Amino acid sequence: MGSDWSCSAVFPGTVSGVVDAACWIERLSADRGIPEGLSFGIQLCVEELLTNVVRHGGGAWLENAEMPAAAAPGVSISIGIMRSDDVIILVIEDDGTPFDITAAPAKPVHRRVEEAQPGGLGIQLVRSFSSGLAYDRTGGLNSTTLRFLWPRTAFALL
Amino acid sequence: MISAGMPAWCQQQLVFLRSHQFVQQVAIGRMEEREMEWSIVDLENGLAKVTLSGRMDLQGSMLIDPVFAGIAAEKSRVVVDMSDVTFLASLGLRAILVSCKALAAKGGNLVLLNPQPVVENVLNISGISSIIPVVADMGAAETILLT
Repeated sequence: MGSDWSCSAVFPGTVSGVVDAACWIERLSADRGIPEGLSFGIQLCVEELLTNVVRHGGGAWLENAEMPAAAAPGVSISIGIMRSDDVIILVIEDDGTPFDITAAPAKPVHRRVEEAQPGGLGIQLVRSFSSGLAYDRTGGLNSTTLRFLWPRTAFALL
Repeated sequence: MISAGMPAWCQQQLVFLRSHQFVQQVAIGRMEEREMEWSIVDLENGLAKVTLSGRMDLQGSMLIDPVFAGIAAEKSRVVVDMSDVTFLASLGLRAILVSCKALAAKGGNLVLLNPQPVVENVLNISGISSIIPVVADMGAAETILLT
């Protein structure tokens, strides 16, 4: 398929690295003509997974503490993204603390603001916005793979 | 790198992805004028109206967290105008929720006004919209906060 493509980039596991990665994936989505809704979901998953690496994957980013400039020194994060037909695959690999998002507990549902706790929101968003989620740890790397479906439109039939 | 425990779709795609050696590299650089902006106005009816614009991602949250902390400390009944917020991630949700909890603890309240559909989707999926009211106009915000 002429419409297939793949891209990758490597970012440091720091707050600044996450900001750079967010810019990269936002620009890539626009350049590749990824539809708005799908682009939003991909950007959100990248944001959540990278933020998670920086906050919990080896850094000292404590709850309610000020965000440090470099939370996880030494950790690096690689992002690969490819389109094949109507599927987008996103692979995020990092050498931080082992974290299996597919095994993370589901967030309890609250109805009152007094009971609600702010943790776990990102994991829930990643699960909801991707249509497939897998985790592997090999050779000291976390490898999280997400699948997204390109929305079918009338143009796809032409 | 590819374990037997991974689903078939994942293994096939990973083999394909790695065989392509990530041939296409895209320039990495910061986008300009990406920072969030905000304003806080005390309305005559006693409400505080906070207007946000931009992306409530990690970068935006770092900027906006102190703003929400100030709102929680100084205000009571708060309308957050979300109409110019184009992106919302969990750290943004966290800032809103923490602020709302602090307001509720002292008898105040907070409502979210007019989010864009993609942002409202995040509010719904995260469950935030079931604990923090999301309204379409100021009239509805006043009904919740002033009655």
